[in-house]
This record gives sequence, structure tokens and C-alpha cells, in this order.
Amino acid sequence: MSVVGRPIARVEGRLKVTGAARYTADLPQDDGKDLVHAVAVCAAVAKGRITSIDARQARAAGGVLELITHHNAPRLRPVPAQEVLGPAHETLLVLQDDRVHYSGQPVAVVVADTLENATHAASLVRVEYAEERPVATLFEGIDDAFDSPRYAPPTTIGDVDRGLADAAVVIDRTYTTPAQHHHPMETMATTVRWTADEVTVHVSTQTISMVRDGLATTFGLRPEQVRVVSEFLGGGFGGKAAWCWPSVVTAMAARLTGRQVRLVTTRRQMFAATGQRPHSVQRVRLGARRDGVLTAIAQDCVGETSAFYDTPPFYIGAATPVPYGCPNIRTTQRFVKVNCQTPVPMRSPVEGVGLVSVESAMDELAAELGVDPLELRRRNYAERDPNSGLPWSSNGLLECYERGARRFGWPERNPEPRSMRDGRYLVGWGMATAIRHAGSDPTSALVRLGADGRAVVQIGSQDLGTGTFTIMTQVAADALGVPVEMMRAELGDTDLPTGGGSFGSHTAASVAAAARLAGEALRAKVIRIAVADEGSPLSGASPDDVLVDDGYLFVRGDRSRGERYAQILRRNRLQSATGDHTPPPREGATVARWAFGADFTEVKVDPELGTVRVTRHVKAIEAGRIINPRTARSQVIGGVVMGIGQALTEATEVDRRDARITNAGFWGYHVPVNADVPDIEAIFVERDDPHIPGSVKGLGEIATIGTAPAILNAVFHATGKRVRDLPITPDKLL
Amino acid sequence: MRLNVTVNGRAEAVDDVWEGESLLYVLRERLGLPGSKNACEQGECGSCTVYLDGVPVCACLVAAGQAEGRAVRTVEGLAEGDRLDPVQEAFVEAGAVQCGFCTPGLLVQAHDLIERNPRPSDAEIREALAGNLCRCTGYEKILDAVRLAAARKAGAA
Repeated sequence: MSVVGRPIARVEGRLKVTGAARYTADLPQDDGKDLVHAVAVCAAVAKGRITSIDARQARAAGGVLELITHHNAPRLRPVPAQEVLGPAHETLLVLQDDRVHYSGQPVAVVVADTLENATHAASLVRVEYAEERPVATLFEGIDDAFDSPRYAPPTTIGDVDRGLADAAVVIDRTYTTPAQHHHPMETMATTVRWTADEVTVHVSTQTISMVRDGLATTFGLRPEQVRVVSEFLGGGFGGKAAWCWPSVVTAMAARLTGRQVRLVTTRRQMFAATGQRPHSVQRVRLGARRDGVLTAIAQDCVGETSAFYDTPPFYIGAATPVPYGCPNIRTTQRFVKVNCQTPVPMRSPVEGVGLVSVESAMDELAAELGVDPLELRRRNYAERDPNSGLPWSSNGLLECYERGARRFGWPERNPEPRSMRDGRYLVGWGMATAIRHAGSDPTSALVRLGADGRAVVQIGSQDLGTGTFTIMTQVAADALGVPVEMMRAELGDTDLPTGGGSFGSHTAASVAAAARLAGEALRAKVIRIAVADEGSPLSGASPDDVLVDDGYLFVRGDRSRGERYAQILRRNRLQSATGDHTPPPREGATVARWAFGADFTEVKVDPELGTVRVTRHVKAIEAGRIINPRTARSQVIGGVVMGIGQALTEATEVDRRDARITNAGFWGYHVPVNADVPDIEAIFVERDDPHIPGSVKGLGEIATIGTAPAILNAVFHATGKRVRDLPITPDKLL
Repeated sequence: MRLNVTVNGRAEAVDDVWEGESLLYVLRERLGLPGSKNACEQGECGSCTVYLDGVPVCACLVAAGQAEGRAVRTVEGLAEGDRLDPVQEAFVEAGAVQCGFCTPGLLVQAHDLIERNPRPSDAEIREALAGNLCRCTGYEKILDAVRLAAARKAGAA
């Protein structure tokens, strides 16, 4: 019986509830005494030059082994951004010169025998700066916004000006979204051992292969000299997808000291260590006929990039042309250089940011026309992908609308704002569409079977905590035809067959495709051995007639003629096979592959205090086939809660005078807590997709996309007040 | 200084401890018990929650010297040999674990709740877990796990 699609418990669960799972910062020093600790000293200004570093006291402090500044740091080679490391990474080569580009940039690193000694010595380093006036936020630099050649010409479909001119109704609104930080519970941790033969890196990363290639390039090594391991990862959400300075400076420290060095960033440092979701301003114009059919969508965004990165990492309006069947669409984006880190993806850098404005504007259009917001979206359903003109590989959006609305009770909604109450609270219902591109990465898997009948599947991928270990196990067990208990997954090591990054909602689709190919290849290989083996009951059978069930191989039509994998393997050597998944090329695509969803939410607003609570949320998702409903459901609920944070509580606040972050801790940056969380329901609308292996579209980002705009819209419905500036804090409602 | 502390039922004498270091540091770096996690180091996230003389505390906020002569129980000490505590079992079964980094602290906190209050209401569960942040699961499945564990413990009693 197939185990794919069954809600088995996560395979590494026991390790995680007993404290036995080893995360990067937990790893024992491998020969007992060699491990030392590094602590970064971070810039106290956001722009300027370092004029002096007085490290005398620090060097004299107890246990200090090394102190690295731009004067003595190893020289690094620039990394060709796009070719090596994908779309987003830290291009600033730290500790190379006296320039400071953002507050929190590392300006010195102290290495000492204990963490306490390193922390103490770091506090003794005195840095003087010639401070310059920084560009603190997008708003301070907006007059100097520039077009990036990378995103020229802008996306244009049809004639937007004409579409706006022909519209009976035009909505023209501007929305802002703040910088936000990922804050996985595990901060950024790296341990490096540097010997003449090999550099071994344990690191909390979403992409071991990128860290390997990045370190090799930066330090002038061959990739095969670098081994990167990341077995257990304490979350990431995009923040560990990029190449970032903590890993670079740890490697420097290991090279200079010859010791195994560990660096774990503090929570405060996480506000300037792994990048942020960029602050943005989004102007949206929607043109529509009286019946709500769209005649034009125009979106003009301005987003931040860092002061040192000329190639902005992503274009937040890239998916705006996709959700609705509109003949005239144009999106543009300009960029502002700000004294902050380079933005990185955070649970969808495109749809999760750029559709906030579009989905709110759709709600404003619905209110203007007196059309139900859900009905407005149905009327604009796209029969094909408007962006590419291609048919959908599969599309369950209408069923997401229908099932989500029914479950939520949407038809009971009184369209009038401020019309629904629960005692003193104003009640609002809102909804939004969610879409997310469905892709995968080149990924190789190896499945090996031993004489005890036990098998292992290996992929150099990562498990962010979403359940990659578990789904690899399920898919490989099915493909080989063994019980799931007989299959074990290994990942997170560049010595394993190469996997892709765990980002972009690509992981499940990538590892499932590769694990299936490898498992099937091994099954076919063992069948060929068995039918050629005179000692086997299967001897002489046609390989096509051999079936496998629960680890037992038999001839079609005669179950008694067969034997178990273990018996075959005992007579033959250990067997293995590989599988290589290659994603379909983007050029020449014949279908558009997307995941779809619909969010329905209820908020209760205290009219006197302006506080908003989400009290109910239903999210319907079509992401193809779900490999494991238990891990998937938990992932989606968590994604909705991150959307609640995006809508109501999370913003990285910057002091406009000096560009320093003013709420750098959980005390000031409010991730949702237990009491913020309502009753959340996830509905999976399953679809077979003949164009995607296993019909796996990925869940990580669609879990969050749609939630924040649904909440914005619900707050309008509750209060009659439209907030266009995230997050919706009480002051904006009073 | 030398720190005498009982950890998970075992008497430990730890030498060369600096009085100012945290109990979390002693557990993780000196006693080889990294189950308790360091995620904020200032008592905001609950990932390092351990029992100190039977009371849940953030180990990052307890100075090593304060643990002198006292008993500590960590996530590594919740199971009896190979037999998981019902709270641990329930977290796996309910899907309350994702990345697992907040899990050790949540387990200790939930374990304490059920010891004190075998039939907690939802409001009581939320209150008890109010100091434990989780970024992956969205808490809903954690509530399910605590309800499940409480029901099992009550059934077994």
C-alpha cells in the first residue's frame, strides 16, 4: 500500500522531542578540546569610515586567541553574484576595507577559548568612525530611485493606459509594506574547521551547495575542498537561503587560528546578519467595468536595496500579472539604495509582498462597485496564465474559492462595513487570492539497499523543519516497494548527491522527484538481478512481470513465486541506484505551473483600543498532491500565523536620524505568540498535474501568501477604515 | 568556582565555572546537554526552559551560581529510558514539531502544566505556554499535543 499521501508522523520526531537532534550550535567538538568561539563586533553607525580600532584591551583579555579587523583579515575574492549563488546573497565582502554600509555590519571578530571570554573581549574593542549621513529608509532616498537594467523593460501586456481610460471605475491607491525579519528560532550558526586538505563547515543553511561554492570562490579553494553539513536546521524562512557574513567571518577565524571555530549570532545580530524582507511602496491602479471585469492592472513599486548592491535581488511585482484574466497589465519597479543589508527572500519575496497591494485594491474595487469580493475574483478568473499566455498545468483556484467560502460561511457575510458585531467588538470578514509559482531544482538522489532489507535514501538537500526527511522517506519507500519503516533518509551534507536549495517552495517537488527516480531505478536493478539469478524463485521471469509489495518481489499472477529483497541481497552485493531530476526548462515551456489558494479570515476589532485579533481563518490550497497531510497541515497553519504577523505585528523599525534598528529583539519585534493565534483550518484541494512529477507544487510560501491581505480587507469590513500601511497597529485605527 | 548540581537525577560537580555564566551555558557547553536551546538569551522565547527544583525557568536567565545545590531537569530527562513521556509522544503524533528548536522548552513547560493541572482548559494551556515562541507550527498543533498528552496521562492515572 502506498505511503505517499498518508499522514505518517515525522521520521525525526523522536530525536527532536528527546533533545537528541544536533543542530549546528549543539555539535560536540570533534576531538574534545579544539573548539573555540568567535564573536562579531558590529558597526554602531550605518554609514561612514572606520578611523581607528583600539583592540589593545581586547587582545590582552583572558583567553583571546585572535582579533580580526579589515587590517589583518584574509583577502577575499568577489563572488560573481548571479552565476554562483543564485538570486540573492550578501555581496559585501566583509572586513576588507574601512567602509561601513549598514548598522550591524561586522567590523571586527574576536576569537577566544570560551564564548564568555570572546563576548567579554568583544565588548572591549573600541571603534571610532567618521560618520556620514545615511539613507535610513526608502522614504529618505526615494528622490534618487533608479531603474534596474536587470528588470527592463517592465512587464507589459496589452495597453494599460487604454484599459484605464476605458474603465467605468478606476481604483488608484498606494500601499506600503515594512521591512521584516525572518527570525527562525535558531539564529545563524556556523562551525568551521580549516586544514590543509579540507575545510569542513557545519552551518545552519537552507543551501549547503551554495555555502560550499560561495566559500570556495571567496577563499580561492576548489569546491571539492569544502564540505558543508547541515543536518538539523532550526527554521529559516528565506533568511538562511542567502550567503551571509557570519559564515564568511567564521571561516576567516578558522583559517587564521587553525582551530575549529564556532560563531553563533545573537538574536540582536539577527537584525543585520541574514537580510530582510524589503520595505516597499506599491501604487496600484485597477480599471474595471461596472460588472467588475478588469480592464487594466497597473502596479508601480519602489523597493529598497542595499547601498552596495547594484543588482537588486528581486522584482516584487513579478507575479502581479498572473492571478486575474485582464487584457492590459503593466508592472514597474524602481529601487532605492538604503543603508541596510541587501534584501533577501522571506516566505515569498514576490507574491508575499507584491500581491498585498493588488489583493487589497481588489477589495477596494469590490466595495466601490458593490460586488462581493469573492464574486469579483470569480468574474476575473484567468482561464490561461495572462503573463505567458500559456495554459495552466493544473488549476484548482475556483475550487479553493468554493470550498474555502463554504467552510468559512462566507455567504452569510453582510457586505456593509461595521455591520457585524460581537458585543463591543466590531467583526470583519475578508478574503484574498493566493498564487505561487511551482518549480523545482536539479536534484540527485541515491537509494541503497542492504542485505538486511533496509534501505537508505540520500540527497544533499536540507530539512528546514518542514518535513523533508519524512517525505523523502515516504517517496523512496514507495518507489522501491518497501515498508516505510525500512527506509531511512539522509540529507544535509555536500558529500551526498547534489540537491538544490530549500527555498522557493521547491524542496518537496525536487526531492520527491529525485527520490522516486532513484527508488524506481533500484527496484528495476534488483529485479534484473533476481530474474538472472538461478538461486531465485524469480529466475527466468520477465522483469516486466515482477511486482513488489512490502519488500516482497513476486511474479504477476503467482504470489507464491517470489522472495524478499533481503534474500536477493544476501546472495548478491549491496545494491544502489541513483536518480537525477531535471526540471523542465523555462524557455519553450508549454504550460504555466502555479499553486493556488484562497484565504478567508475573521477579525474582531476593539473600537476603543484599536486592537485587532484574528479569530478564525480558513485557507484552501491547491498545491497538486500532498505527500504527507500531517506535516503539510502543520506547515500551512504556521504559514498563516506568519501572515498574521505580517499583517498585524511585525515591522523592523529604523531610527530615521541614524538608520539604526530600534526594536532589535523579541521584546520589540513582535512575532505572533500563542494568544494571537485563532482557530485555523487548512483545506487541501488536490489535483493531479501531468506536467509536474508526482504532482508536487510545494507549500512553503503559498501557506503565507494571501493571509495578510485577507486580514487587511477584514479590518476594513470591521471598521470601515482602510489601512494601507502594514502592519495594522492600533494607532492606525484610532 | 565548583558548581554542585543534580541534573536529570545525576549529581554533577562542574569545575572552573565562572559565576556569571548562565545555567544554560553550563548545561550546553560544560555538561554536554545541548537539548535546551539558546534562541534569544534574554528570557523572551522560552526555548531554554528547564525545571529548577521542579519549577520551569529560562535557563538563560539563571546564573550558574544560583543552581548550586539544586536539581535541574532538562528535555533529556523527560523520558524514562527508552520510554517517552506522554507529552513527548503527543508532540510527535499531533504534528506539533517542525524544526524542533522551540520544542525542548515547550515540552518542559507543557510537562509542568499537566503535572500541576491534569485537565487544563484551552485558555490555561495558552496561558502556560505564553512565554514559548514558535515560528514554524503556528501553535495550533502544539495545543492539540497538550490536550492529547493530558488526556493520555489522565487515562493512565
